[in-house]
Amino acid sequence: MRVDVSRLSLCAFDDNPQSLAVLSQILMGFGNKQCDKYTDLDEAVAAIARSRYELILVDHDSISRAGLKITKAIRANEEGPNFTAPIVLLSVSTSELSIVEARDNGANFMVAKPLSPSVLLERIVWLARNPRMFVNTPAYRGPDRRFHIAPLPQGVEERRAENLRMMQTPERDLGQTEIDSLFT
Amino acid sequence: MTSPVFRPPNRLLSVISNPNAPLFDHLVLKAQQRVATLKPELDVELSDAVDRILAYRSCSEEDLFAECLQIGSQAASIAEIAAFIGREALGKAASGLYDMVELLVERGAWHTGSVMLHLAAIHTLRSAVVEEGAAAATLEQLRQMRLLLARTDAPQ
Repeated sequence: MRVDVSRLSLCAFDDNPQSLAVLSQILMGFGNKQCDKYTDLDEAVAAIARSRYELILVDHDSISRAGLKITKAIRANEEGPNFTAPIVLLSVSTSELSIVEARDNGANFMVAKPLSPSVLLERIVWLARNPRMFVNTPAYRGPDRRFHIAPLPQGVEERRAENLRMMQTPERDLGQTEIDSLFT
Repeated sequence: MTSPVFRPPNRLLSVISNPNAPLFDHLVLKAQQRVATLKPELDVELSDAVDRILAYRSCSEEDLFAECLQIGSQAASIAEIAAFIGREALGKAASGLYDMVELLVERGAWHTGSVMLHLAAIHTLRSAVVEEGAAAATLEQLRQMRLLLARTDAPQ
């Protein structure tokens, strides 16, 4: 699998300078040269409100709750440059409560610390390959949290059965030339 | 009014759209090599961080409780650094201590005795000569204790 993160504009926050140094080395190992790094929460929030990033990596723990504060600030600012940006929380805290809180505040992913370069890169690739719908409601702002497609309960008929059958038949897919021909 | 559910532009498209990009495994290897260059610096930092957290062993119960967030934060830092430089057992003991503070933050439960036991384990495991089996046994006992406390403190 070929991966290019060299041109990504990144923002990384970690209030622990050693942890940020490790993250920084990992990102440089990935070939990235466009990462703004912050150890101060307020500076990070200000930068995120000002500049557009393609990915935001934020340290989070359930004691300082810094990651949640940043995530909330991003998702609350509908006019901000990073309202829909992917946010990955990096966390030493992997309790269920902590993960659910992160998800329900609009984070895309949580990666457990200590960071593994392969896990971090896998998540970045996953986000790139699987862009999710974005939900903007008063109760929740963030990527669509629904990952699973559950089967219908027994006895309930799929209303779109006919459409789904048509879509699953390869010959129903038109090539770009055929699509264009329908417009001209 | 805009739709409450929409598809935003994929900001990460460049990650997968370059056919000449380096291979995944190559990037991971480069990252691991770069992190390895930090080892001397992290060794020193780990030693200092362990010294700082072990100083809490002489605190009174009241002072220990008052400093709990600081202890949690330092434990998280030790857990992370230790894992990076191959001191997994020490890292796991510190991670367990972090869990104890998290239990306080999430459920309001504080167990001074258990915190002290974790500090004692960190003190023992900071020595690189602890036998692997003994370290594993210590960590397992701490883990069992945390499980028991988590169950005891679980909301009814």
